[in-house]
Amino acid sequence: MNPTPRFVQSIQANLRYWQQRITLADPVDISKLDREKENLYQAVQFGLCVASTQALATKLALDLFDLVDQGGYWQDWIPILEQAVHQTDVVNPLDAAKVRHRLGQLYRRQYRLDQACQEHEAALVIARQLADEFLIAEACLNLGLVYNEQRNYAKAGEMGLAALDGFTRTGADPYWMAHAYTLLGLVEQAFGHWATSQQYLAQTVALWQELVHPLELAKALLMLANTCLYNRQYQEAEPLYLEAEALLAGVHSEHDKIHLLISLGTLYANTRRLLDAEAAFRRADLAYLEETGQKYQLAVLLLNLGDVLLEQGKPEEAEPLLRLSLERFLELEERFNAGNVAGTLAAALFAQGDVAAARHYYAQAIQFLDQFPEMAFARHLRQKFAAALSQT
Amino acid sequence: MESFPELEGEAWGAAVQRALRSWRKSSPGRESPLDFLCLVRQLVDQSGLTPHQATKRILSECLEELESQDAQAAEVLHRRFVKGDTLAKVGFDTGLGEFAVSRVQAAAIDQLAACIAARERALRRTMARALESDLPPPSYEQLFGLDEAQNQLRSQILSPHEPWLIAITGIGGIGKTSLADRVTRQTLAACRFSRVFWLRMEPGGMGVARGTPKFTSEKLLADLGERLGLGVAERLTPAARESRIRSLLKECPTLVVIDNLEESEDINELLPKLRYLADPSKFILTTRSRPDGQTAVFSYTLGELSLADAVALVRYQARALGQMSLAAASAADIERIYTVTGGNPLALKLVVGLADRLSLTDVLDELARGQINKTDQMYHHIYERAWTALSPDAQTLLQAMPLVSRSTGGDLAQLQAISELPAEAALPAVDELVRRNLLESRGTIWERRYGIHRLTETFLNTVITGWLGDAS
Repeated sequence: MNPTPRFVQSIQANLRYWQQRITLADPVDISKLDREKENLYQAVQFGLCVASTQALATKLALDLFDLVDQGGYWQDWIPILEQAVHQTDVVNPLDAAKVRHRLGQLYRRQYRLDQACQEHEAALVIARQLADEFLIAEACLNLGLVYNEQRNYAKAGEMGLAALDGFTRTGADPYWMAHAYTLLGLVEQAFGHWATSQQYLAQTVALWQELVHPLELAKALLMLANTCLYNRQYQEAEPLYLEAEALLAGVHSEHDKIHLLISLGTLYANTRRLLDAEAAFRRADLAYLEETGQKYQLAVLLLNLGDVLLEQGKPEEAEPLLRLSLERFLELEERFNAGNVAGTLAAALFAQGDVAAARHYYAQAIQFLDQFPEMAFARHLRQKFAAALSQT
Repeated sequence: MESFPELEGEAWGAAVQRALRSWRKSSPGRESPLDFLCLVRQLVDQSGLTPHQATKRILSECLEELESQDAQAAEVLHRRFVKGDTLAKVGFDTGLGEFAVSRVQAAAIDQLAACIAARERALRRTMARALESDLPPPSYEQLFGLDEAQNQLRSQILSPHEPWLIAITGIGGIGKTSLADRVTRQTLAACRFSRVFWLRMEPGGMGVARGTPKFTSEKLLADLGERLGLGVAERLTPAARESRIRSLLKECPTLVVIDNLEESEDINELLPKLRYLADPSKFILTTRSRPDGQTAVFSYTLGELSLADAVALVRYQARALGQMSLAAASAADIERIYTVTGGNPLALKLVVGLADRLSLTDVLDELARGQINKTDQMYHHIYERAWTALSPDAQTLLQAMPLVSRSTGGDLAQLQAISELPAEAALPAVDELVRRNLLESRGTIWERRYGIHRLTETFLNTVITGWLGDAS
C-alpha cells in the first residue's frame, strides 16, 4: 500500500469533517449520527492505516465511543480499537491509555473480562508513568467495574473508593463522580448492604439529573430499582423501573432496554405476576443479543424466561431455553450463574419425570455454587437445590 | 402505458359475461370469474365481502356508468342478468325483437368489459405507483436489448406457481440491477404482489470481519424482519423470527429483490432459506455467480448487447450528453466501439462519456492496442481513459470517493469535505461525474446521496489512490 499524497489529504479531510460533525452533535443524543455509522467506521478505518492520519483517526474513534457503545457495535469496533492501541502505544501514551480504556470497556461489554482487565491495567501503568492522577482514577474505576463483573467485590469496592478519591482530588467532572458512585452502589448491592447501595445510587441518580443525561439517568434508576428488587422492596422498585423505561424509550440503546426488561420481568416474577414477567422477557430482543455477541445478557435472559415458564408449569418449554443458557454461561466460565441455571434445569427435568437427569444437574449446580461461599444469594440457591436433590 | 392482456380480447369479454350470468345464481358460492381483479381483491380486503359479492358491486357500479353513456345497452344487461328476463321477453318489451337484443347485449357486454378494464387499469396504476415508492430510484432512463429478458422474467415472476426464486446472473456492469429494477416495476402493475422490498447486499464496511455466508443470511433476515415491521416481541429467537417472517410472507404475497449478492457461497447458503420463505412470495436475486443447482431457481444469464442494441444505446447516451456528432455517427463507426467494449452497457456508457473530451479514434485505438481479452482489463483501460478526460475538480472528488460507504453513500456535504472543493466547484464536479456514469446518485428528491460502483472503486484503489497497489 502506497497511497498518494492527494488521497491521504482526503483521508485527513474526511476525518476532520466527521470530527466536526461529532463536535457539533448533541453529546446526549449522539445517536442522531447513527445513520452515518458506516461512513464513520470507514473514516476511522482508512485513517488508522496511514501514519500521518492515525492521531486524527484515534481521536475520532475516541469521540465516537458513545455512539459505538450505545449502538452495540462492539464487535465491529474492537478490531479498530485494537489497531489504534497498537499504533498509539509508543507515539502518544496518553491517547494510548484512553484507547485502552475504551477497548477494555468494549471487551467488558462482550464479557471478555480477562482482556478487559489487561487493557485497564496497561492503562493504569501508563497513568502512573505519566503521574496523571485523573487517569489513575479512571483506571481504578474501569478495573473496579471489571472486578465487579468478575464477582471480586472486595477488590471492586477498593477500586471504587480509590476512583472516587482520585476524582474528588482532581476536581473531576460530575460525570466521573456519578460513575464512581455507581460502582460503589453495585458493590454494596452485591454484598447485600441495601441501605448503603441505595445511598450511593441515589447520589448517582441526582448527578445524572443535574447533568440532564437521560440514558445515564435511566441506567442509574435501573440499578437503584435493582437494589430495591433484591431487598424485596417491590413497591419501591416498580415506579423506578417504569421511570427508567420511559427515559429509555427516547434514546437509542437497545442493550440498556433489554437490561431493563430483564429486571422488570424479574420484579414481576418475584411478585408472582408470571404472565407479565413472561411478556417482559419476551419483549427483550434476543436476536439482537445474539447478533451483537452479548452472550452474558443472552444467557441471563434465557435463564429468566426459562425460570418463569417453569413457574407457570411449562417445564417442556423451559428446558431448551435453560439448556441454551447453561451452555452460554459455561462458555463464559460464569460458574455462579451456571450453578443457578443447572439447578433450574434440574427442576424442569424433574417436573417432566426425568429423575436421573435432574439429580445430575442438581449435583452440578451445588458443585458450582460451592465456589461462592461469600455470596448470600449463592448460599441461598445452594441450600434450595440441595433440599430439592434430597427429595428426588 | 402498461399492457394487460388479461383485460383484453375475447377471454376478457367471456369472463365478464360469466360474471353477469352468476349474478342471479341461487348458490353462487364465494368465488367469482373476476376474482383475479385488483378491484375485487381490494373490496374483499377492505369491506369483508366475498369475491362474488364484490364482483356484483363492481358490475352494478359499471352498469350505472354504462347507463349514463348508453341507456339502451344498460337496460338490456340489467333486464337480462339482474332481472333474469329471457331474450324473447326483452325483445318483445323493447320492441327490438329477439335477434336485435342479442346483438345489443353482445355490444353492451363489450362496453361493460371496457368500463371494468378501465377502472382496473387505473387502480393497478395507483397501486403500482404506491409500491414503486418503496423502490430506490432507477439508475437508468432507458434500457436497450432487454426486451426478451424482460418478457421471460416478467412471465416467471407473475406466474402464480413456481419458480419462487429467480436469479439474474452476469458479469459486472452488464445491467443486472437495472434489469431487476425494470421487471420489478413492470410486474407491480399486474397486482400479483401486495408489497415489494428492495434489499441491497453490500460487502465490506462494518461487519466485514463477519462477512461469512451465515452473516449474509442473518443480515438478510434482519433486513426482512425490519421491513416487515417485526416488533421485538416477534424476534425472540432467530428461529422464531424466521418463522414469523415466513408467515407474513405467506399471508401477503411479496416481491423481494436481493440486489448485489457477490459471492457464490452467499447465494448457495441463502437459497434453501429463501425457498422456505417463498410461495406465494417470490425472490429476485442479482448475482455474478450462477446458483449451484441444489435449489430450484430460474436462472437468467444476462449476456452482452447485440450490435444493434449497442448502437441504439450509444446514440441515446450521446444525445443525453449533448454529443450530437456521436449520436449521428454511422452504425459502422459505432461498431468500432462495440468491437472494443464487447457490448457491455457500463463500458459503452463510459466510452461515450469520454467522447466529448477525447478523440474517439484515440480512445478506441488505445483500448484495441491493449489487446483486451478479459472484462476487468477492459474496464481498467476504459476507466484510465475516463479518468484522464475528467476535469481536475472531478478527479479530485472521484479519487476521494473510496472513503464513502458504498452501502449508504454520502451526502453533498461529505463529498465537498473530502474533496476540499469550494462549494461552487463541488456541485459541478458531482454533476460531471454523474453525467459520465462514474458517480451513482441515490436517495429521494429530498435527499441525494452519492456512491460509486464497485468496479469504479477497484480502479480507484488500485490505480489512482495507491490504496491497493502503487499509485501511478
